[in-house]
Amino acid sequence: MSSIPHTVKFFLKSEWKNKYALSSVFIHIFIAVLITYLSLPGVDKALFSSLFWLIVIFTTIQGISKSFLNMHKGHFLYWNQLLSPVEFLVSKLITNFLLMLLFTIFSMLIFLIIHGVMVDDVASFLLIAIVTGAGISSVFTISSSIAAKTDHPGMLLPVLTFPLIVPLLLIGVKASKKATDGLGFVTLIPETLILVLMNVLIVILGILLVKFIWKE
Amino acid sequence: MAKIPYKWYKILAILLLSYTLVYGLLIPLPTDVGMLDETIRNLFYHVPMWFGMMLILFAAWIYSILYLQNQNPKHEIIARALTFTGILMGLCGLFTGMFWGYNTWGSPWTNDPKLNGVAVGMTMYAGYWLIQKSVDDGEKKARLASVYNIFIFPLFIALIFVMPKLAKFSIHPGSGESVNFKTYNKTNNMELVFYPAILGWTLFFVWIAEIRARYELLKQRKENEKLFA
Repeated sequence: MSSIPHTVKFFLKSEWKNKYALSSVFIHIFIAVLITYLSLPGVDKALFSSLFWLIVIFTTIQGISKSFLNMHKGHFLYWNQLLSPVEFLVSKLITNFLLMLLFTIFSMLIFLIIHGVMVDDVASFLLIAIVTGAGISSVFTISSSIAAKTDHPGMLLPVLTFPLIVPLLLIGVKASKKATDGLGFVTLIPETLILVLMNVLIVILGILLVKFIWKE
Repeated sequence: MAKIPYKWYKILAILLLSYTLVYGLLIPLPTDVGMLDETIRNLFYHVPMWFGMMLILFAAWIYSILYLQNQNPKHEIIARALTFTGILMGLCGLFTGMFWGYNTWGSPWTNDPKLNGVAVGMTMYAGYWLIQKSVDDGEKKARLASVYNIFIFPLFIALIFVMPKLAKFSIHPGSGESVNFKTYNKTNNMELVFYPAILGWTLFFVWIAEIRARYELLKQRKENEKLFA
C-alpha cells in the first residue's frame, strides 16, 4: 500500500508529459461550452446545471478512460509485476479523481465566464461538483478497465459507462439545481450523503472485483 | 416419455398461472378505483413481472459471485440464463406497463422516475449482453460479464428503489406521495390473486431460464466432446 503515493505521482507525471491529451480535454470542454452558448443563448437557471453536467460527462469520459484504453497487453503485464491489482486500481482512482477535479473546476470556470454567474451559491455548487465528480470518475475508471479488456473497447466504453453514472448524475443534477437556486447548504446534506455513500459502494465493489478484471 | 427435471415447480407454475389467468378475470373488483376501472386487472400481470425480475436478477447476481469464487463454468451459464430471462421479464413488465399507461394515463411513456429508472437499468443490462457478444475468448467473456453483472446490480437497485423514493412525485402507486394500492383495496380480495400471480410468473420465468441454461450446458458439452474426440 505504501507504493500508492509513488504510483499516483508517476501517473500524474505521465499525464503532464502527454500534454496533448490533457490540453485536448480542456479545449474540448471550452468548445463544448461555447457551442452551448452559441446554440442556446438564453440559458436560465433551470437549464444551467443539467447543461453543465452534460458537458462534463461527455467531455471528461475520454480524458478519464484513455489511461486504460491506451494500455496494451504488455503494459498490463508490466504493471502486474510491480503492483497488486488493488494498488493499481486505487492509484488510478486517485489520479482520475484529481484529473476529474481539475476538469470539473475548469468547466465550471468556463461556464461561469461564458454564461455569466448564474449560480447563487458557488461554494455549494463546487462541493456538489466535486462529490459527484468523484463518483463519476470512479465509475469511469472501473468500467473503462472492464471495457479495455473486451475486443472493441472504444465501441463499448460509452455503452458500459453512461448507464452506470445515471444514478449519480440524477442526484448530482438535482443537488446542483438546489445550489444554483441558492437554497442553502443545509438542503444539500441528504444528497451529499447519498452521493458519498454511493461513491464508497462503487469503490468497494471495484476493489473487490479488480483482481478478476485484471487476470489474463 | 422423457424425464422432466424438477417437475414439481413446473406443475406449480402451471397451476398458479391458470388460476391467475382464469380467476384474475373473474374476480370481483374493488369499486373505488376511479379511472383505473377494469384495467386494474393488469396488476396481476404487470407488477409480478417486476417482482420476478428483481428476484431473478438477484439470483443471477449470486450465481455471478459464485462463478468468480470457484470458477465453475456451470454457474456462469446459469447466471447468464437468469440475467437474460431477467431482461426478458423487464421488457415484458415494460410493455404491459406501457399498455396499461396508454389506457389510463393516456400515453405509453410519461416522465415518471420508475419508468426512467427501468429504461436506464435495461440499458445497463444491454451492456451485459454486449460484453457477451464482443469478447471471443470464452473464459475471459465469462469473467468480464460476471464482474460487470456484480457491478451493475447494486446500481440498478439504487436506480429503481432509491430514485422514486427520492423524487417527491411519481404517478406510480406506492412511491413518493401518491396513493398505494392498499388504499383502494378495501375488500382485499385482489390479494387472493396477486400473491399467487407473483409466485406463478416467477416460477414460469425460472422455467424459461432453466431451459436456456440446460440448452447452453448441452451445447457446451457437445463442443467439448468435439474438442476431445
